[in-house]
Amino acid sequence: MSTAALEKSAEKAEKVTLSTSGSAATATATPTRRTDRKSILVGFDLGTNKSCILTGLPGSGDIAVSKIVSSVVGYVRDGIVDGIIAGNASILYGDDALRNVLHVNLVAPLDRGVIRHRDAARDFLQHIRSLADPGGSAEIRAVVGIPANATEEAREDIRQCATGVFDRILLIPEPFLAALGFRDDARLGQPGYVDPVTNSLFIDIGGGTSDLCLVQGYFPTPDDQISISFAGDAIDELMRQDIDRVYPNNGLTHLRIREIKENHAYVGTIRKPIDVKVIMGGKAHTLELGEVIGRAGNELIDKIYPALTTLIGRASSDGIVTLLQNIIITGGGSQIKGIDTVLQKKLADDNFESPKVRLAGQDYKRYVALGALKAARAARENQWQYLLA
Amino acid sequence: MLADVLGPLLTEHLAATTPDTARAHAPAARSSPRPVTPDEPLGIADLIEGMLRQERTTRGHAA
Repeated sequence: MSTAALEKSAEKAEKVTLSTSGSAATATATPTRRTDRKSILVGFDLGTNKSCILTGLPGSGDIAVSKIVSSVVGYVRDGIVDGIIAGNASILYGDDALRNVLHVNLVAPLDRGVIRHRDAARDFLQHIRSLADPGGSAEIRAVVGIPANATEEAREDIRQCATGVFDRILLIPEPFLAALGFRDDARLGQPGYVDPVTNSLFIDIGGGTSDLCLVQGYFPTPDDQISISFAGDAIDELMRQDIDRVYPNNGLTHLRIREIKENHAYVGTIRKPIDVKVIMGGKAHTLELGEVIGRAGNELIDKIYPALTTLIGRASSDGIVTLLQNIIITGGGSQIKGIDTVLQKKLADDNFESPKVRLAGQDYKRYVALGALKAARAARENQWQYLLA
Repeated sequence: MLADVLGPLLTEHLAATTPDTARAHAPAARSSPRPVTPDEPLGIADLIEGMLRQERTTRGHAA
């Protein structure tokens, strides 16, 4: 897919009628427009562990900024000597924070896809804004991906944290945005190409949640979406428990366990040996973790598969065979070795008609943000929500 | 009076009951509500409109 071939904004600003949303902090439309400020469109995947931001200008198909940022804020500890932290910054973000883990208090603003630490979330969003608009003067219009099961409270938390940071906002479920981002606009209308927004089932396996979504030609309803609070972080925790049981006092941090998972995760038949070198107490040790890693990965399959068959059962009877050929796994979990073949085989063994499960590919980290940017380009003037401070 | 309360609520419900809303409450197995031909790409703005309409309906029911 050509990531440069984004939809051009076809909508000009138009006079809108004022209407109100359910939240007192937002309103659709505006009575006046500040025409002296440049507008920047932002597609933002606010992930539990990794966030992705893509930006562009209205009317342009180019992507001005493309960044993946670890969703973490590091507050520099008191007493750190000048010069240890670059620029003597008091707050670090993303990989900068992780690199200076010894000198900061790390805070993850999100847990299982929703905001848990508001102050850190606000600081993180401010950092995202600075990436999109280093000058700080532009109007920021952001489409933000949210988990499929996000409650109104979770949505309002995002709005509250974004107030004063973004100027306008639209919250859209992540699996739908993934389908939109995955859509190859250059191939629309070509024979044999099935628009994923028309008929597909997306499985977005992130850090906090695994979101499954039917996308069948209309905006997904709550019945078309299932969100499971079991994803990358849960796999890490299962691995930790198993490693602690087999190798007590191992001293491995959660970051190191996550790294082991990202390098070796798989599903299916247990593979042994998987030898992993770790430093424990300053000494190198080799841990055999084949069964630990496989058990944790297969737990994910046990959680996802029932949700997958449930959604298939809810799908429109028209085009069900095509749907079964368009099951797409995206998110960090798409990197788990064998996840596509294992799910496909389970479906086939359960007599589903010619199922085909595939991976989103190397751009999996960007599809939600890409879909969000496409949505930002296409949104009508009166569809944006204003964040009123 | 009860009628004074129910009247506006009923009016609001009828106004909010669009085909999209009806789809949201349809039984599990259902026919495609709007067949889409391969050469008719879905308008993103229209999809967003459908989402916003769903949200307003959900808030209305919650209220």
